[in-house]
Amino acid sequence: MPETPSSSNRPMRRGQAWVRRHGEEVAVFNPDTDQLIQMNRSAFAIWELCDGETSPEEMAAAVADLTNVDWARAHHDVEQALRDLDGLGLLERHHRPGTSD
Amino acid sequence: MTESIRIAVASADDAFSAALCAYLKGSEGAHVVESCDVEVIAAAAVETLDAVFLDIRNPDAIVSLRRLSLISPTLVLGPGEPDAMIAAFDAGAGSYIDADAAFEEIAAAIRQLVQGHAVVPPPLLGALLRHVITRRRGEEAAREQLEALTKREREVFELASAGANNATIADRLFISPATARTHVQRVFQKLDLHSRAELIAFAIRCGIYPEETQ
Repeated sequence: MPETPSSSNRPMRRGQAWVRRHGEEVAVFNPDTDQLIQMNRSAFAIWELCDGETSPEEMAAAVADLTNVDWARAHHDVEQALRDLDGLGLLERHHRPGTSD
Repeated sequence: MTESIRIAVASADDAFSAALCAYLKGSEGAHVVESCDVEVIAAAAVETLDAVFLDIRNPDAIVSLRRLSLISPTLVLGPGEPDAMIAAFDAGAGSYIDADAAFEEIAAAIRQLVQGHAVVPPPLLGALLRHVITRRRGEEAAREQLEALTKREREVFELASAGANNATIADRLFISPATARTHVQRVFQKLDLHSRAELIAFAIRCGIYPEETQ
């Protein structure tokens, strides 16, 4: 099971990924794993926000603002999306002091 | 459309407007008010309007959007560019749809808007989320700056943000005009502001929308 992106982390997308947009879908190629990944625009939007500066809480607040869903629901969805992206190897691993793989 | 929805359609493009209205009128349960006149739409909105469709390809339409979005959920049709969409959301749009969208997509977006769900063109979603995050950070930073004000300076700030001049501030707070001026200058210094217009913009960033003070 992939490491869960912690709420205290500010996830960052892998810089080397190759992106191709087509209609509602986006294809992301991860050269590290040689994987071509199809994702929807919502997942891609979350991935775009992974700049190493933005916390999952900020992402959730923005999603809640835009979609009128409550923050807890938005936070759950954002965390799930981040877990999925992490599982696909599309996020850099962040190490906090005292943690290791 | 299965439930009755009253929609106002405003577009400077007469042919487009007529075609969209014809399409929406053909949808079950849709009642359409077709007009380019904001006042007509505003009057209808006060009655029973459920949503407004506004075409902002006309440059003046943003002004109309600011007005209409206060009284009814507004679906904006505009260029598929992040800047145009962000300007529309900042002006109060409830949803945004690309100018190339099919009538079927517009009708679906109206239905979603009426149900309380925002519609954003998927390719622009990331840019809009980024904008919302940046704006929220600005609001948070502004609120932190406000905490540096003393209680009296905060009172002065709120009066000034409502448009009060130094004489009015002095009158309201039972202080001399010279003291009011000193407080205003200290507020400007602490908040790094250079004009009353900047002060009002700062207040809005903090979520403060005071009533106008004479």
